[in-house]
Amino acid sequence: MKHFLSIFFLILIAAAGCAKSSQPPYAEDPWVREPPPGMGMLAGYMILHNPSSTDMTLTGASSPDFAAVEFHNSVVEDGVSRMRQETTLVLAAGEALRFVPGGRHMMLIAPGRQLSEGDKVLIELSFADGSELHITAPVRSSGGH
Amino acid sequence: MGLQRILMIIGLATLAVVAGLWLQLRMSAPAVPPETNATLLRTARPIEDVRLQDTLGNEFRIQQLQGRWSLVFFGFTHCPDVCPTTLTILGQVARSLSDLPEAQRPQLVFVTVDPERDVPSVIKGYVEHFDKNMIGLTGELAQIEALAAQLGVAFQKVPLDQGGYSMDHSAAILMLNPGAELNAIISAPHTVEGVSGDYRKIVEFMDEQS
Repeated sequence: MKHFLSIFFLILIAAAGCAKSSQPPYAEDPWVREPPPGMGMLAGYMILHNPSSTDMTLTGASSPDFAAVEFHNSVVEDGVSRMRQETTLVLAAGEALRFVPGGRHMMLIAPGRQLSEGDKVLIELSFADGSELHITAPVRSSGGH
Repeated sequence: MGLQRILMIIGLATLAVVAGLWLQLRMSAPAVPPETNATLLRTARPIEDVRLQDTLGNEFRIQQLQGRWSLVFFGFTHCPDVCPTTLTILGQVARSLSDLPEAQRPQLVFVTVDPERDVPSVIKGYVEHFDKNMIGLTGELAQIEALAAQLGVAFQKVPLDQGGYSMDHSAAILMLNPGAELNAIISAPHTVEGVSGDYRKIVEFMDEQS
């Protein structure tokens, strides 16, 4: 009986763990492209994961290193590249949003200093539920490690 | 007849057959264009000369691109994503083609679609960041439009809600032959392997044709 009870509780705890699953979102491999000298616009990339079981809505971003941070998507329509601003982004439960060169990206506007490879940039993401995610993104000359 | 002699005759006969087959293949080989992701123009399209400005502010005529293959991209320096992405790829493409004989290596060309903000000094630092030999061009809007139209490149100014403007522009890389004629269009999305692979195949094919 003792064994039975402990197993029962173990199962209960495991189930509770699964159901709750409120792990916070996290950014995989965040990076900012090293800008040519004097560039007023940079782009930041990452894979943003939402391991929780509830959808999350990304409502904004800011950075002490930039005047403003926006979300944009580069799309090619009929061979023409256009940029679309996205004011909110839904991060579905258990899914990831990919911010990649030539696609969705963080547009980092008006850097406060000249950034070069090896520098680190702090970006704060805000979600609709009031939570925040702080990301430290290294400046790199191109994708990959 | 000695064994040696027989072997020699067999060897010579084989060689003759192989040579014959090779010759026949070569002579009858239809000019099948290579398989690429690029659009290869069977007849290269000549470009009417336009007057632009290089990064030092000197006049640059598009016919000055003659003598080498060129990879041309239209963009603007206030473009945070697509332009740096494409120009980074072009820089890597040039480095990956450095094993080719010099005459076959491409010259990289960036043409701004935003001459209002992209004056020669701005473009200079910009292109050199991606490749120290990249040619950066600006100029009068009418001249840039005349060049773009001939290359099938579209662009348009788009006002932004928060003020200022962005530019929509063709994402393709244009390949000009050493006669400074439009020879191929490499559409987006681009990768280093894709662009350099297509470049090699097209240069090799066009060299065989001539």
